Order: sequence, then C-alpha cells, then structure tokens
Amino acid sequence: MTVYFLQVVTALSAVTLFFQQVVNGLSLGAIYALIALGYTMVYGTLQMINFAHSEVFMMGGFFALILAKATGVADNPTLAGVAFVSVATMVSCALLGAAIERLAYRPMRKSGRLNLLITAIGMSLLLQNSALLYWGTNVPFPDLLPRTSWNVAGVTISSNNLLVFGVTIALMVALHHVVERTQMGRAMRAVAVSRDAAALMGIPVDRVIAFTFALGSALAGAASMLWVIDNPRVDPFMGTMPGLKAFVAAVLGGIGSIPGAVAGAILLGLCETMVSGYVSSTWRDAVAFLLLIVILLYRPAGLLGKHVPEKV
Amino acid sequence: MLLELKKTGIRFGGLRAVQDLDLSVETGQLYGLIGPNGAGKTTVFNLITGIYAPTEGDIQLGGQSIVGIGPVGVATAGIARTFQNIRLFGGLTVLENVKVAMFRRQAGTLFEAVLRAPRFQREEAEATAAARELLETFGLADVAGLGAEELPYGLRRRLEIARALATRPRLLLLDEPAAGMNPSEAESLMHLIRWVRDSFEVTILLIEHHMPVVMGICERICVLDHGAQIAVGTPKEIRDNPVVIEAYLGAEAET
Repeated sequence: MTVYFLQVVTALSAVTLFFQQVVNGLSLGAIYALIALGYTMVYGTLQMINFAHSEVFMMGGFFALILAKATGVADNPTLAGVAFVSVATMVSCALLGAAIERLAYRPMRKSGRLNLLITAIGMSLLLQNSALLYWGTNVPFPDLLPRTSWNVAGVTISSNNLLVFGVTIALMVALHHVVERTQMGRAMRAVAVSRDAAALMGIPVDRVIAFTFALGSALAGAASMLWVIDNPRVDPFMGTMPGLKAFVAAVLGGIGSIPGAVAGAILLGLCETMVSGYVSSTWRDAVAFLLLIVILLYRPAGLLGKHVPEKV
Repeated sequence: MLLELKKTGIRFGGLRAVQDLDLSVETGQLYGLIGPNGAGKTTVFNLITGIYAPTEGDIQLGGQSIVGIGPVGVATAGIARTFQNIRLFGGLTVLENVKVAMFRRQAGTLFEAVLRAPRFQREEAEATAAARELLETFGLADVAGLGAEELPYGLRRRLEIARALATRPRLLLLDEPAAGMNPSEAESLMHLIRWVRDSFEVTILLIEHHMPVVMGICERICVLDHGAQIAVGTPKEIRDNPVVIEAYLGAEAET
C-alpha cells in the first residue's frame, strides 16, 4: 500500500516536473523568439548575419535602466510607467538598429558578404566595449513589477511567465499584421526575393532595409525588457548567450523564415529546460549547440526553411 | 521626345558593350530594339533603368538627365520594366505582386498601419481595388490569390507587365516579352502590347526576337549589333536594309 502510494506520488511529481519545465521552456523560448526574429528578418533581406543584434538586446537593458531612472519609474514603479519605459526602450533599440545599418552596414553593402560579416562582428565588439566603458559590469536593475506566482495543479506559474507570454503573443500578432498586410511588409518580402527587381518597381530599397533593422531591433528591445524584469541585472555581456541561442533558434527554424524562427526558439527553449530538469543544468548550453550541429548536418535549410538553390 | 539616349556607351573593363548609341523615342510610340544575341540590347535596358551607369553620353527622360539617380529614382521618374528571365516576387501572391508595385503611392506610416488607422484602411482598400482592376484587364483575376510562382509561364509574363503598369509609368520597357511563346501566343501578346499602349497611354520600348511581333507592332525599330547601332527606321526600311540582313545572317551562321 505504502509502496503503491509512493509510486503514485512519484508519477505525479514526474508529471508536474514535466509541465513545470514546459512552462519554463515556453517562457525562455518566447524571449529567444523575439531576438531570433531580428536575425531572421535581416538575413531574409540582406543575406547577412547581424552579429551586432545580440548587442542591440544588451543595449536595450541599459536603455531600460536609463529610462526607468530618468522617468522616476525606477523609484516609483506604476504599470503605466513600466509600459512607457518598455515602449521607449523598444523605440530606442529600433533607432539604434537603424543607425547601425545606416552607419556601418550600408556603406559596406557593395563590398561582399564576408566584409559585412566582419563589420557586424566589429560593431558587436564596439557596442560591448562602449557599454563596459560607460556603465561597467553587473549593474543592478530595479524591481519594476511585483512578483506573484500561482500554483496550478502543482505547476508554478509566475506573473513574469504570464507577462512574457502576453507580450510575446501581442508582438507576434502585430508583426504578422505588418509583414502580411501592410505595404511595408510586402515591400520587405519583395526586397528579400529580389533587391534589384524591387528597386525597379520603385520600392525604396534602402528605406525598407532600414525598416527591417528597426523592426527586428524593436523586438530585441522588448525581449531585453522582459529579460531584465525577470533577471534584474544589466551587463555589457548579457547579450552574448541569449543572442547566440536566438541565432541557433533562427538557424534551427530555417534562417530567413519568420514562423521558423519562432518555432526554432520555442523548441530550443523547451530542449534547454528539459535538459536542466532531467539531466543537469550544466548541459543546457551544450545541448543548444549540439542541436545546431545536428540540424546543420541533417537539415541545413532548417525546420521550416526552404532549400534555395544558388542563383547561377 | 520622351526618351533620348545621346552618344551613350558603357565599358566593362576593355569591352565596349554599348557604344555611341543615339536613340529617340517619342511619346506614345511603340519602339522596337532588335539585334542578334549579345548585341547589347539588355545592357541598353540596364543603362536606362539605372542598373548600370553609362561611362559615356547621357540619357534623358522628358528632357531631364536620369543618369546617376539609381533604379529607384528611375522608377520614380516614370520608367518601368519587365525582365528577360521573369523576375516576379515569389512568395507573394499575384495580387500582392501588383500591390507592392504601388508602394510610392501610399503615404501611411507604420503606426497607422499597426493601429489600423482610417488612412491605412483607406489606402489599403484603394490599392487592392486598383490592383484587382489591373488583374481583371490582364485576365488574372481568377488567380489573384495564388502564389506568383505557381502561375503558368504565359500568365507570369502577363503578371510582370501588370506589375510594371502598377507603378504608373510613362515609359514601359519590355525585355523579350514573347520569349518562349509559340506563334499563336506571341500573336495574342502582340495585340495585348498594342492595347496596353493605347489604353494606358504609355510609351513602349521593347526588345524582341520574334520578328513577326516586332515587324507587326513597332512603329520604329533600332537595330544593334556588337553594341553599336547599325540601322534605325520603320519596319519596312529595316526589313529591306542589307546591313541588317547581313548582321542577322552572320549571327545565324554562328549559332
């Protein structure tokens, strides 16, 4: 009888552990998704990996901190205040992303993809070290929102989880609308197919590319806001790991594909938390990159990516 | 005079792909550009549309130089084109291909778009209506929702013309519109081109290999060979021109 009871308890806790990791995984995956979209959209239009994208995410943390302090939201957080800081952070990141494109990438666009890649790595180092110089490491971030959590059948769901889900879903809906239903979204897709043909149809290609950077960077700004609310510290190197993971997620889903980036990010988030839950948390990063290697070996175009033959 | 090329030329390294080209297209004209393979016809289109910058001479649209303003500037100035190897926007629907070419006509901002503000809604509705009308006239209304890459070859050619017209050009450049068509398809395309010129009041400059098409619809023809102009005139003058006949026979013998 006791043995049977213990078995039931173990089985139940195994079930709750699983669902707990699903909640954690979705929450992590949602943040990866917001960052991964920036990688995938830029790749779609320019066929370049914007390695400075993780630093836009990092700068988002600092922008949020500065804005929260400047507006007094840091000392006296209200819901409206936090919402304002979030939107302002997104706008700041959008401007930063567009500025990076304008100042660093556009002049290099004609000089080949390798040069662009090196420029991106340089931009990433520049931003990291500038942040290090100005703000230093491990800067505490104020608690902006009260933390609550609920126990649903043994699974803990925090208010931050709900915030992440809510914000991510709202932004995905907005992004879908922009990409599928607006003229700018159609222009983005047209530029991704053929930059020359788009230009000849009067589509202002430079503006569309700048817009793509701004849009991806705004999403990274939202991601960093969600990140620092949950992990209240900002650091010049805080972008490296999430940025790399988001890049893996974008490749996993098929780089250039918007639904692919979201699917890859959710999958990666789930894999990581499952490995932490069932194996060991020291293995979680390794698993992310193992997944990348396996995908590159067996499905180089990614889960939802289309294999595009090279133009001859 | 709508389009004028004055002593236009371009060199790629040591190769003079086009040289000393004088070309005058009058408003409303249907003008043909012909010549053997490799004569530089598509290079002329690339020069006019700003893909290449001429190394010599000038190109003017309506009396104003369009050299150096780039492809977007040229499109904004009122020149649209189609491509020898069709270049539609795959992944966009037939309707979207036409709508996206109306980009310059819409003024709404992103915020209006995200908030679905009245101006955004109105501009979208107008673009959709205009695009549908164009598709209707080109017999593409039934396939408006299909992906552009799903269309059969002949319809893709039509869609490319419709998309070019959606930019509301003054001058339309058609690069081998009848390529890959059988004689009866080419015949119906010929009627379509003439009809487009008349009903859209657009000037047309076209490159074509199908001699019946060129001779049948063009009012004036320029013949290129090795990047240089060897004859200009009416279809009848061109047909009887011994230099042209020789250029073509020579080219035929090589291929």
